[in-house]
Amino acid sequence: MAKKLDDSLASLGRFSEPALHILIALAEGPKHGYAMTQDIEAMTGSRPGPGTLYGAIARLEQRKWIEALPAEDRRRPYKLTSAGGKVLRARLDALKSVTKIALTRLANV
Amino acid sequence: MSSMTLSRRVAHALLRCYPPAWRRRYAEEVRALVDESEAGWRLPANLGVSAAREWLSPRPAAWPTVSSLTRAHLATLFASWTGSIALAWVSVYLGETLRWSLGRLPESAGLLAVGMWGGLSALIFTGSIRNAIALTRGLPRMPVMLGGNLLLGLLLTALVAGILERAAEDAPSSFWLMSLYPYFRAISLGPVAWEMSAWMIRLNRVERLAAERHRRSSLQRHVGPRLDLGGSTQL
Repeated sequence: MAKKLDDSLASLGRFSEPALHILIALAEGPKHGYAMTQDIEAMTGSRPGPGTLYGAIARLEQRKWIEALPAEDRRRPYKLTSAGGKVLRARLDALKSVTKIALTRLANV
Repeated sequence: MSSMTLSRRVAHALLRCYPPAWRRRYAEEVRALVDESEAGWRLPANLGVSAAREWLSPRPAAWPTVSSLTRAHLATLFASWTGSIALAWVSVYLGETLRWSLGRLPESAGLLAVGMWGGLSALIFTGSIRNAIALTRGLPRMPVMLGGNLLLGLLLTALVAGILERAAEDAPSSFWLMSLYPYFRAISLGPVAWEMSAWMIRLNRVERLAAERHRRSSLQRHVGPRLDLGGSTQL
């Protein structure tokens, strides 16, 4: 019997952070690997290595949170699926509430 | 050769260290990304660590899962043990029958059997080494060494060699463990011959089917949406 996959980003373990960045990058529209690394670098200030990026892509694709589009030359663009959009939204909502609490606490420091 | 070029070359070489199924799915894309990325030793370091991670926790998507491959592997291993032990038993039984009905065969028959076993062992281990190389370099690049008629010929040769060996040997040893020698040999040699070839054949089939399924599902998913992409794809 196939193992049921956890439906949260935390289930990706060490890949959860690069996976979140990939989902955010793809929320703008389909992108291939190089466009994703550029976008992630612009967002976070650091560029993910190719092994880290494709490790996360493989896991996101397995969960059907992103989808591969037909290859163009050696590049293959990926797009966010509706399931991936829901996971991203849930993660961002959780981060938003954590950020709100943290900022409130910081205001009292 | 500059160090930039060298780091990129090392990165390309490290892509060979990934699991074969992963390589078939992503290697070309990663190679393109490596070529486009700024060269430096961070590239090979990242790929080396990631390759180790993929081996330790493989998460295949569009290819057969590890558990299905393991099941296929164990099934062929079990079948090969059963088959080779049965073959050894038949050869011992027929060899004994031949010796009792015709008398002990001349020493040359025993030498012929030794030669046949030597040839078979060399063939089997060459095949297993070639298959092992194919497994590490990526399936299904290398030919299956022991498939179809060749495997049948090998089994028949093993049967004849076993009969000749038994019929030409001296009186059975009083040490009971020696009488089990053909079975120990069957347990060690049989699986190497059969399991390696059967596994390769099975893997080739499973992977071909998975690749075809993936291709079909990609076509079904993307033939329509591709028209709607317009200029939104960032290249």
